Amino acid sequence: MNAIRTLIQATMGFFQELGATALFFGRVVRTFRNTQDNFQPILAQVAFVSYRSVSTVLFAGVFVGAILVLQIDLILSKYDAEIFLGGLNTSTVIREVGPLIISFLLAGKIGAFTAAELGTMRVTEQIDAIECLGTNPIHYLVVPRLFGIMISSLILLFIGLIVSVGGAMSVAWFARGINTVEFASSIPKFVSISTFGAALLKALIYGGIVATVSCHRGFTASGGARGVGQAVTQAAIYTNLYILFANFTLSHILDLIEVLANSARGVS
Amino acid sequence: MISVKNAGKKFQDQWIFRNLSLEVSEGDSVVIVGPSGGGKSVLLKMIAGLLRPEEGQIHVNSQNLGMLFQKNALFDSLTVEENLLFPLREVKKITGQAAQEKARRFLFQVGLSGCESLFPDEISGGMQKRLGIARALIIEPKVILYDEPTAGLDPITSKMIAELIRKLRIETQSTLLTVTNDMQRAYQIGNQIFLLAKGRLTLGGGPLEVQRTENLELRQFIYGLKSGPLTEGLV
Repeated sequence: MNAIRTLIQATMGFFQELGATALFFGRVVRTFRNTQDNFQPILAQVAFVSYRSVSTVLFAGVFVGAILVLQIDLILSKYDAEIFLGGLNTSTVIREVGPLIISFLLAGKIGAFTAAELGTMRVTEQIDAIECLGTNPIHYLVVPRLFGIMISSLILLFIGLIVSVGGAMSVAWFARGINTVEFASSIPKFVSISTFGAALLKALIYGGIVATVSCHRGFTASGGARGVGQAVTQAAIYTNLYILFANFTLSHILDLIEVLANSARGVS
Repeated sequence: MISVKNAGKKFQDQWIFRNLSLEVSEGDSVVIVGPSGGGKSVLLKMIAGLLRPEEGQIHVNSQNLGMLFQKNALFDSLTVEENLLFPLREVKKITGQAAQEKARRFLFQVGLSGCESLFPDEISGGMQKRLGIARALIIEPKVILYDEPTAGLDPITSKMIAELIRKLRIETQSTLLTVTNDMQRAYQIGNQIFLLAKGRLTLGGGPLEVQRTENLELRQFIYGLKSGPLTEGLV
Protein backbone atom coordinates (compact mmCIF):
# COMPACT_ATOMS: atom_id res chain seq x y z
CA MET A 1 0.00 0.00 0.00
CA ASN A 2 2.83 2.32 0.96
CA ALA A 3 4.68 1.50 -2.26
CA ILE A 4 1.61 2.42 -4.32
CA ARG A 5 1.20 5.67 -2.40
CA THR A 6 4.88 6.53 -2.95
CA LEU A 7 4.53 5.74 -6.64
CA ILE A 8 1.45 7.97 -6.95
CA GLN A 9 3.21 10.76 -5.07
CA ALA A 10 6.31 10.46 -7.26
CA THR A 11 4.19 10.53 -10.44
CA MET A 12 2.25 13.54 -9.19
CA GLY A 13 5.49 15.26 -8.25
CA PHE A 14 6.87 14.59 -11.74
CA PHE A 15 3.86 16.17 -13.44
CA GLN A 16 3.66 19.05 -10.94
CA GLU A 17 7.28 19.86 -11.63
CA LEU A 18 6.65 19.50 -15.37
CA GLY A 19 3.79 22.00 -15.10
CA ALA A 20 5.85 24.48 -13.09
CA THR A 21 8.70 24.20 -15.60
CA ALA A 22 6.30 24.73 -18.51
CA LEU A 23 4.87 27.85 -16.84
CA PHE A 24 8.39 29.15 -16.26
CA PHE A 25 9.22 28.56 -19.93
CA GLY A 26 6.10 30.52 -20.90
CA ARG A 27 7.20 33.37 -18.64
CA VAL A 28 10.64 33.45 -20.27
CA VAL A 29 9.17 33.44 -23.79
CA ARG A 30 6.76 36.26 -22.87
CA THR A 31 9.66 38.27 -21.45
CA PHE A 32 11.68 37.62 -24.62
CA ARG A 33 8.81 38.86 -26.78
CA ASN A 34 8.20 41.94 -24.65
CA THR A 35 11.81 43.09 -24.32
CA GLN A 36 14.52 44.39 -26.59
CA ASP A 37 18.32 44.19 -26.72
CA ASN A 38 18.33 40.41 -26.39
CA PHE A 39 20.51 39.64 -29.39
CA GLN A 40 23.93 40.45 -27.94
CA PRO A 41 23.51 38.68 -24.55
CA ILE A 42 22.13 35.59 -26.33
CA LEU A 43 25.08 35.62 -28.72
CA ALA A 44 27.48 35.89 -25.77
CA GLN A 45 25.80 32.88 -24.14
CA VAL A 46 25.97 30.88 -27.39
CA ALA A 47 29.71 31.57 -27.55
CA PHE A 48 30.16 30.73 -23.86
CA VAL A 49 28.16 27.48 -23.92
CA SER A 50 29.63 26.30 -27.24
CA TYR A 51 33.18 27.08 -26.18
CA ARG A 52 32.80 25.34 -22.82
CA SER A 53 31.19 22.22 -24.31
CA VAL A 54 32.96 21.74 -27.62
CA SER A 55 35.88 19.68 -26.27
CA THR A 56 33.55 17.27 -24.47
CA VAL A 57 31.36 16.98 -27.57
CA LEU A 58 34.39 16.25 -29.77
CA PHE A 59 35.64 13.59 -27.38
CA ALA A 60 32.23 11.98 -26.86
CA GLY A 61 31.33 12.24 -30.56
CA VAL A 62 34.34 10.22 -31.74
CA PHE A 63 33.70 7.44 -29.25
CA VAL A 64 29.94 7.29 -29.77
CA GLY A 65 30.51 6.86 -33.51
CA ALA A 66 33.21 4.27 -32.88
CA ILE A 67 31.16 2.23 -30.41
CA LEU A 68 28.05 2.30 -32.57
CA VAL A 69 29.88 1.17 -35.70
CA LEU A 70 31.33 -1.83 -33.88
CA GLN A 71 27.97 -2.81 -32.39
CA ILE A 72 26.02 -2.38 -35.62
CA ASP A 73 28.68 -4.26 -37.58
CA LEU A 74 28.40 -7.15 -35.15
CA ILE A 75 24.72 -7.53 -36.01
CA LEU A 76 24.99 -6.81 -39.73
CA SER A 77 27.81 -9.28 -40.21
CA LYS A 78 25.51 -12.10 -39.12
CA TYR A 79 23.33 -11.38 -42.13
CA ASP A 80 26.13 -10.42 -44.55
CA ALA A 81 24.71 -6.93 -44.65
CA GLU A 82 27.85 -4.92 -43.82
CA ILE A 83 27.16 -2.85 -46.90
CA PHE A 84 24.55 -0.99 -44.87
CA LEU A 85 26.93 -0.21 -42.03
CA GLY A 86 27.54 3.43 -43.00
CA GLY A 87 23.89 4.19 -43.58
CA LEU A 88 22.60 2.52 -40.44
CA ASN A 89 25.32 4.01 -38.27
CA THR A 90 24.85 7.53 -39.60
CA SER A 91 21.07 7.32 -39.41
CA THR A 92 21.19 6.09 -35.81
CA VAL A 93 23.63 8.82 -34.83
CA ILE A 94 21.60 11.58 -36.48
CA ARG A 95 18.14 10.45 -35.44
CA GLU A 96 18.64 9.17 -31.94
CA VAL A 97 22.04 9.04 -30.36
CA GLY A 98 23.39 12.44 -31.44
CA PRO A 99 20.66 14.68 -30.01
CA LEU A 100 20.41 12.52 -26.89
CA ILE A 101 24.14 12.46 -26.15
CA ILE A 102 24.49 16.19 -26.81
CA SER A 103 21.63 16.97 -24.45
CA PHE A 104 23.03 14.72 -21.71
CA LEU A 105 26.45 16.35 -22.08
CA LEU A 106 24.84 19.79 -21.97
CA ALA A 107 22.81 18.81 -18.90
CA GLY A 108 25.93 17.64 -17.08
CA LYS A 109 28.15 20.51 -18.02
CA ILE A 110 26.02 23.58 -18.70
CA GLY A 111 22.78 22.63 -16.94
CA ALA A 112 24.48 21.98 -13.62
CA PHE A 113 26.57 25.13 -13.99
CA THR A 114 23.51 27.25 -14.79
CA ALA A 115 21.46 25.86 -11.90
CA ALA A 116 24.35 26.45 -9.49
CA GLU A 117 25.05 29.95 -10.81
CA LEU A 118 21.44 31.15 -10.69
CA GLY A 119 20.84 29.32 -7.40
CA THR A 120 23.78 31.08 -5.79
CA MET A 121 22.55 34.40 -7.15
CA ARG A 122 19.12 33.68 -5.68
CA VAL A 123 20.27 32.69 -2.18
CA THR A 124 22.75 35.58 -1.96
CA GLU A 125 19.91 37.97 -2.90
CA GLN A 126 21.62 39.09 -6.11
CA ILE A 127 18.42 38.35 -8.05
CA ASP A 128 16.43 40.36 -5.49
CA ALA A 129 18.90 43.21 -5.97
CA ILE A 130 18.33 43.15 -9.74
CA GLU A 131 14.57 43.15 -9.17
CA CYS A 132 14.90 45.96 -6.67
CA LEU A 133 16.65 48.09 -9.27
CA GLY A 134 13.53 47.77 -11.40
CA THR A 135 15.17 45.40 -13.87
CA ASN A 136 13.47 42.16 -14.82
CA PRO A 137 15.85 39.36 -13.75
CA ILE A 138 14.21 36.97 -16.23
CA HIS A 139 15.19 39.33 -19.04
CA TYR A 140 18.68 39.90 -17.75
CA LEU A 141 19.58 36.42 -16.50
CA VAL A 142 17.29 33.78 -17.94
CA VAL A 143 16.44 34.86 -21.51
CA PRO A 144 20.10 34.86 -22.70
CA ARG A 145 20.86 31.57 -20.96
CA LEU A 146 17.76 29.76 -22.18
CA PHE A 147 18.02 30.78 -25.83
CA GLY A 148 21.82 30.60 -25.72
CA ILE A 149 21.73 26.96 -24.61
CA MET A 150 19.04 26.08 -27.18
CA ILE A 151 21.00 27.59 -30.07
CA SER A 152 24.25 26.07 -28.82
CA SER A 153 22.67 22.63 -28.76
CA LEU A 154 22.15 22.93 -32.53
CA ILE A 155 25.74 24.03 -33.13
CA LEU A 156 27.08 21.28 -30.89
CA LEU A 157 24.84 18.71 -32.58
CA PHE A 158 26.28 19.70 -35.94
CA ILE A 159 29.85 19.41 -34.65
CA GLY A 160 29.05 16.18 -32.80
CA LEU A 161 27.51 14.56 -35.87
CA ILE A 162 30.49 15.36 -38.09
CA VAL A 163 32.94 14.04 -35.51
CA SER A 164 30.83 11.00 -34.76
CA VAL A 165 30.48 9.99 -38.41
CA GLY A 166 34.21 10.69 -38.83
CA GLY A 167 34.98 8.44 -35.84
CA ALA A 168 32.71 5.73 -37.20
CA MET A 169 34.34 5.89 -40.64
CA SER A 170 37.81 5.61 -39.12
CA VAL A 171 36.91 2.60 -36.98
CA ALA A 172 35.09 0.95 -39.89
CA TRP A 173 38.23 1.38 -41.99
CA PHE A 174 40.81 0.28 -39.41
CA ALA A 175 38.85 -2.41 -37.58
CA ARG A 176 36.65 -3.81 -40.32
CA GLY A 177 38.42 -2.83 -43.52
CA ILE A 178 35.42 -0.93 -44.90
CA ASN A 179 36.72 2.05 -46.82
CA THR A 180 35.20 5.52 -46.76
CA VAL A 181 33.50 5.23 -50.15
CA GLU A 182 31.84 1.95 -49.16
CA PHE A 183 30.83 3.41 -45.83
CA ALA A 184 29.36 6.54 -47.40
CA SER A 185 27.62 4.77 -50.27
CA SER A 186 24.74 3.48 -48.13
CA ILE A 187 24.18 6.74 -46.27
CA PRO A 188 21.68 8.22 -48.80
CA LYS A 189 19.53 5.08 -48.42
CA PHE A 190 18.99 5.76 -44.72
CA VAL A 191 19.51 9.48 -44.33
CA SER A 192 17.35 12.16 -45.89
CA ILE A 193 16.57 15.80 -45.24
CA SER A 194 13.81 14.72 -42.86
CA THR A 195 16.38 12.77 -40.80
CA PHE A 196 18.30 16.00 -40.30
CA GLY A 197 15.07 17.86 -39.61
CA ALA A 198 14.16 15.35 -36.90
CA ALA A 199 17.63 15.64 -35.36
CA LEU A 200 17.49 19.43 -35.30
CA LEU A 201 14.01 19.42 -33.80
CA LYS A 202 15.08 16.96 -31.11
CA ALA A 203 18.26 18.88 -30.31
CA LEU A 204 16.28 22.11 -30.03
CA ILE A 205 13.67 20.57 -27.74
CA TYR A 206 16.20 18.74 -25.58
CA GLY A 207 18.36 21.86 -25.38
CA GLY A 208 15.23 23.75 -24.34
CA ILE A 209 14.58 21.17 -21.62
CA VAL A 210 18.15 21.43 -20.30
CA ALA A 211 17.97 25.22 -20.29
CA THR A 212 14.47 25.58 -18.85
CA VAL A 213 14.88 23.03 -16.07
CA SER A 214 18.29 24.30 -14.96
CA CYS A 215 17.24 27.96 -15.09
CA HIS A 216 13.98 27.18 -13.29
CA ARG A 217 15.63 25.17 -10.51
CA GLY A 218 18.37 27.77 -10.04
CA PHE A 219 16.00 30.72 -10.21
CA THR A 220 13.69 29.26 -7.56
CA ALA A 221 16.41 27.89 -5.25
CA SER A 222 16.17 28.72 -1.55
CA GLY A 223 17.84 27.81 1.70
CA GLY A 224 21.52 28.67 1.36
CA ALA A 225 24.25 26.31 0.16
CA ARG A 226 22.06 23.26 0.80
CA GLY A 227 19.33 24.79 -1.35
CA VAL A 228 21.78 25.39 -4.20
CA GLY A 229 22.98 21.78 -3.94
CA GLN A 230 19.38 20.55 -4.08
CA ALA A 231 18.66 22.80 -7.07
CA VAL A 232 21.61 21.34 -8.98
CA THR A 233 20.67 17.74 -8.11
CA GLN A 234 17.02 18.27 -9.02
CA ALA A 235 18.00 20.00 -12.25
CA ALA A 236 20.10 16.96 -13.22
CA ILE A 237 17.40 14.44 -12.31
CA TYR A 238 14.47 16.25 -13.91
CA THR A 239 16.42 17.17 -17.04
CA ASN A 240 17.32 13.54 -17.71
CA LEU A 241 13.80 12.32 -16.96
CA TYR A 242 12.18 14.92 -19.21
CA ILE A 243 14.64 14.27 -22.03
CA LEU A 244 13.95 10.53 -21.93
CA PHE A 245 10.21 11.21 -21.76
CA ALA A 246 10.47 13.68 -24.67
CA ASN A 247 12.66 11.31 -26.66
CA PHE A 248 10.14 8.52 -26.39
CA THR A 249 7.21 10.78 -27.31
CA LEU A 250 9.02 12.64 -30.07
CA SER A 251 10.44 9.50 -31.69
CA HIS A 252 6.97 8.01 -31.87
CA ILE A 253 5.46 11.18 -33.31
CA LEU A 254 8.24 11.58 -35.88
CA ASP A 255 8.03 7.92 -36.89
CA LEU A 256 4.29 8.24 -37.28
CA ILE A 257 4.72 11.35 -39.42
CA GLU A 258 7.25 9.54 -41.59
CA VAL A 259 4.99 6.51 -42.03
CA LEU A 260 2.08 8.76 -42.98
CA ALA A 261 4.24 10.76 -45.38
CA ASN A 262 5.55 7.58 -47.00
CA SER A 263 2.09 6.10 -47.39
CA ALA A 264 0.87 9.37 -48.91
CA ARG A 265 3.72 9.13 -51.40
CA GLY A 266 2.99 5.44 -52.00
CA VAL A 267 6.34 4.28 -50.62
CA SER A 268 6.24 1.02 -48.69
CA MET B 1 6.23 58.56 0.80
CA ILE B 2 5.85 55.02 2.15
CA SER B 3 2.47 53.81 3.29
CA VAL B 4 1.85 50.42 4.88
CA LYS B 5 -1.77 49.72 5.81
CA ASN B 6 -2.85 46.72 7.88
CA ALA B 7 -0.19 44.55 6.26
CA GLY B 8 0.14 40.91 7.22
CA LYS B 9 2.67 38.30 6.21
CA LYS B 10 2.86 34.62 6.98
CA PHE B 11 5.23 31.81 6.15
CA GLN B 12 3.87 28.26 6.19
CA ASP B 13 0.70 29.16 8.15
CA GLN B 14 2.72 31.10 10.74
CA TRP B 15 1.91 34.79 10.85
CA ILE B 16 5.02 36.96 11.19
CA PHE B 17 2.85 40.03 11.76
CA ARG B 18 -0.69 41.19 11.11
CA ASN B 19 -2.46 44.54 10.89
CA LEU B 20 0.84 46.36 10.70
CA SER B 21 0.66 50.00 9.62
CA LEU B 22 3.42 52.53 9.01
CA GLU B 23 3.61 55.94 7.37
CA VAL B 24 6.93 57.45 6.34
CA SER B 25 6.77 61.05 5.12
CA GLU B 26 9.02 62.57 2.48
CA GLY B 27 12.48 63.40 3.84
CA ASP B 28 12.00 61.32 6.99
CA SER B 29 14.57 58.87 8.30
CA VAL B 30 12.72 56.09 10.05
CA VAL B 31 14.53 53.29 11.84
CA ILE B 32 12.87 50.04 12.87
CA VAL B 33 14.60 48.10 15.61
CA GLY B 34 13.58 44.82 17.16
CA PRO B 35 14.58 41.30 18.06
CA SER B 36 15.86 38.97 15.36
CA GLY B 37 13.13 37.03 13.59
CA GLY B 38 10.57 39.73 14.30
CA GLY B 39 9.93 40.44 10.63
CA LYS B 40 11.97 43.62 10.09
CA SER B 41 13.67 42.41 6.93
CA VAL B 42 10.41 40.85 5.73
CA LEU B 43 8.68 44.22 6.08
CA LEU B 44 11.50 45.91 4.18
CA LYS B 45 11.33 43.34 1.38
CA MET B 46 7.57 43.81 1.20
CA ILE B 47 8.05 47.56 0.81
CA ALA B 48 10.69 46.88 -1.87
CA GLY B 49 8.16 44.69 -3.71
CA LEU B 50 10.22 41.53 -3.28
CA LEU B 51 7.61 39.84 -1.08
CA ARG B 52 3.85 40.08 -1.31
CA PRO B 53 1.76 40.70 1.78
CA GLU B 54 -0.97 38.18 2.51
CA GLU B 55 -3.20 41.04 3.58
CA GLY B 56 -3.19 44.83 3.64
CA GLN B 57 -1.71 47.36 1.23
CA ILE B 58 1.71 48.82 0.67
CA HIS B 59 2.34 51.90 -1.41
CA VAL B 60 5.63 53.64 -2.20
CA ASN B 61 5.29 57.02 -3.83
CA SER B 62 8.49 56.91 -5.85
CA GLN B 63 9.49 55.77 -9.33
CA ASN B 64 12.69 54.10 -8.24
CA LEU B 65 13.86 52.74 -4.98
CA GLY B 66 17.32 51.91 -3.67
CA MET B 67 18.01 49.08 -1.29
CA LEU B 68 21.03 47.96 0.67
CA PHE B 69 20.72 44.27 1.48
CA GLN B 70 21.77 42.72 4.78
CA LYS B 71 24.48 40.67 3.06
CA ASN B 72 25.03 43.38 0.43
CA ALA B 73 23.90 41.17 -2.51
CA LEU B 74 26.69 42.54 -4.68
CA PHE B 75 27.05 41.06 -8.15
CA ASP B 76 30.04 38.85 -7.50
CA SER B 77 30.84 38.21 -11.15
CA LEU B 78 31.18 41.96 -11.80
CA THR B 79 33.95 44.27 -10.65
CA VAL B 80 33.39 47.07 -8.16
CA GLU B 81 32.95 49.59 -10.97
CA GLU B 82 30.71 47.27 -13.01
CA ASN B 83 28.47 46.88 -9.95
CA LEU B 84 27.71 50.58 -10.34
CA LEU B 85 27.64 50.60 -14.13
CA PHE B 86 24.97 47.89 -14.15
CA PRO B 87 22.16 49.96 -12.53
CA LEU B 88 23.20 52.99 -14.57
CA ARG B 89 22.84 51.02 -17.79
CA GLU B 90 19.71 49.07 -16.84
CA VAL B 91 17.77 51.74 -14.96
CA LYS B 92 19.09 55.12 -16.05
CA LYS B 93 20.11 54.01 -19.56
CA ILE B 94 23.44 55.79 -19.12
CA THR B 95 26.41 54.10 -20.77
CA GLY B 96 29.96 54.82 -21.93
CA GLN B 97 32.05 57.69 -20.63
CA ALA B 98 29.17 59.39 -18.81
CA ALA B 99 28.37 56.22 -16.86
CA GLN B 100 32.00 55.63 -15.97
CA GLU B 101 32.43 59.19 -14.73
CA LYS B 102 29.34 58.93 -12.58
CA ALA B 103 30.38 55.55 -11.18
CA ARG B 104 33.83 56.89 -10.29
CA ARG B 105 32.29 59.94 -8.62
CA PHE B 106 30.13 57.71 -6.43
CA LEU B 107 33.07 55.44 -5.64
CA PHE B 108 34.99 58.53 -4.54
CA GLN B 109 32.04 59.63 -2.36
CA VAL B 110 32.01 56.32 -0.50
CA GLY B 111 35.79 56.15 -0.29
CA LEU B 112 36.35 53.36 -2.79
CA SER B 113 38.49 55.17 -5.37
CA GLY B 114 41.22 52.87 -6.60
CA CYS B 115 39.11 49.72 -6.14
CA GLU B 116 37.37 49.95 -9.52
CA SER B 117 38.82 46.79 -11.02
CA LEU B 118 38.60 44.63 -7.90
CA PHE B 119 35.85 42.06 -7.41
CA PRO B 120 33.52 42.26 -4.38
CA ASP B 121 35.17 39.29 -2.66
CA GLU B 122 38.54 41.05 -2.90
CA ILE B 123 37.47 43.95 -0.68
CA SER B 124 36.71 44.07 3.05
CA GLY B 125 33.25 43.80 4.67
CA GLY B 126 33.10 47.53 5.34
CA MET B 127 34.09 48.31 1.76
CA GLN B 128 31.44 45.89 0.48
CA LYS B 129 28.88 47.72 2.59
CA ARG B 130 29.97 51.05 1.13
CA LEU B 131 29.80 49.62 -2.37
CA GLY B 132 26.28 48.38 -1.61
CA ILE B 133 25.34 51.89 -0.49
CA ALA B 134 26.84 53.39 -3.65
CA ARG B 135 24.91 50.91 -5.80
CA ALA B 136 21.68 51.74 -4.00
CA LEU B 137 22.25 55.47 -4.41
CA ILE B 138 23.63 55.67 -7.94
CA ILE B 139 20.17 55.58 -9.52
CA GLU B 140 19.32 58.62 -7.35
CA PRO B 141 16.29 57.09 -5.67
CA LYS B 142 13.96 59.19 -3.56
CA VAL B 143 13.40 56.28 -1.18
CA ILE B 144 16.24 54.18 0.21
CA LEU B 145 15.82 51.03 2.28
CA TYR B 146 18.70 49.85 4.46
CA ASP B 147 18.57 46.31 5.79
CA GLU B 148 20.98 46.00 8.72
CA PRO B 149 23.53 48.42 7.22
CA THR B 150 26.09 47.82 9.96
CA ALA B 151 25.58 44.11 10.65
CA GLY B 152 28.83 42.26 11.13
CA LEU B 153 30.99 45.36 11.14
CA ASP B 154 33.30 46.56 13.89
CA PRO B 155 32.09 49.59 15.96
CA ILE B 156 34.36 52.08 14.20
CA THR B 157 33.38 50.96 10.69
CA SER B 158 29.72 50.83 11.82
CA LYS B 159 29.90 54.41 12.98
CA MET B 160 31.54 55.49 9.73
CA ILE B 161 28.89 53.71 7.65
CA ALA B 162 26.08 55.31 9.68
CA GLU B 163 27.76 58.68 9.25
CA LEU B 164 27.98 58.09 5.51
CA ILE B 165 24.29 57.15 5.35
CA ARG B 166 23.38 60.33 7.24
CA LYS B 167 25.59 62.53 5.08
CA LEU B 168 24.30 61.07 1.82
CA ARG B 169 20.71 61.44 3.00
CA ILE B 170 21.22 65.15 3.56
CA GLU B 171 22.96 65.52 0.20
CA THR B 172 20.35 63.57 -1.77
CA GLN B 173 17.29 64.76 0.19
CA SER B 174 16.00 61.21 0.21
CA THR B 175 13.61 59.32 2.48
CA LEU B 176 15.17 56.52 4.50
CA LEU B 177 13.77 53.42 6.09
CA THR B 178 16.36 51.43 7.99
CA VAL B 179 16.08 48.25 9.99
CA THR B 180 18.80 47.44 12.48
CA ASN B 181 19.52 45.80 15.82
CA ASP B 182 22.20 48.32 16.63
CA MET B 183 20.70 51.02 18.90
CA GLN B 184 23.70 53.34 18.62
CA ARG B 185 23.35 53.42 14.83
CA ALA B 186 19.57 53.78 15.16
CA TYR B 187 20.11 56.98 17.21
CA GLN B 188 22.69 58.16 14.68
CA ILE B 189 20.61 57.56 11.54
CA GLY B 190 16.97 57.92 12.53
CA ASN B 191 14.72 60.82 13.43
CA GLN B 192 11.92 58.38 14.26
CA ILE B 193 12.52 55.00 15.84
CA PHE B 194 10.00 52.14 15.94
CA LEU B 195 10.15 48.80 17.69
CA LEU B 196 8.90 45.76 15.80
CA ALA B 197 8.38 42.92 18.24
CA LYS B 198 5.79 40.20 18.75
CA GLY B 199 4.12 41.19 15.49
CA ARG B 200 3.45 44.77 16.64
CA LEU B 201 5.05 48.02 15.55
CA THR B 202 5.45 50.53 18.38
CA LEU B 203 6.54 54.11 17.86
CA GLY B 204 9.32 55.03 20.26
CA GLY B 205 9.79 58.60 18.97
CA GLY B 206 13.01 60.50 18.24
CA PRO B 207 16.42 59.30 19.49
CA LEU B 208 16.21 61.32 22.71
CA GLU B 209 12.66 60.19 23.46
CA VAL B 210 13.61 56.57 22.88
CA GLN B 211 16.52 56.84 25.31
CA ARG B 212 14.11 58.10 27.97
CA THR B 213 11.25 55.80 27.06
CA GLU B 214 9.00 54.19 29.67
CA ASN B 215 7.84 51.56 27.20
CA LEU B 216 8.85 48.26 28.80
CA GLU B 217 9.38 46.37 25.55
CA LEU B 218 11.58 49.12 24.13
CA ARG B 219 13.51 49.44 27.39
CA GLN B 220 14.13 45.71 27.49
CA PHE B 221 15.38 45.77 23.91
CA ILE B 222 17.59 48.86 24.35
CA TYR B 223 19.23 47.60 27.52
CA GLY B 224 19.32 43.94 26.45
CA LEU B 225 17.49 42.74 29.57
CA LYS B 226 16.93 39.02 29.81
CA SER B 227 13.56 39.25 31.53
CA GLY B 228 10.72 41.41 30.37
CA PRO B 229 7.72 41.45 28.05
CA LEU B 230 9.74 40.52 24.96
CA THR B 231 11.00 37.26 26.47
CA GLU B 232 7.79 36.35 28.29
CA GLY B 233 6.91 32.73 27.64
CA LEU B 234 10.35 31.95 26.24
CA VAL B 235 12.59 29.38 27.93
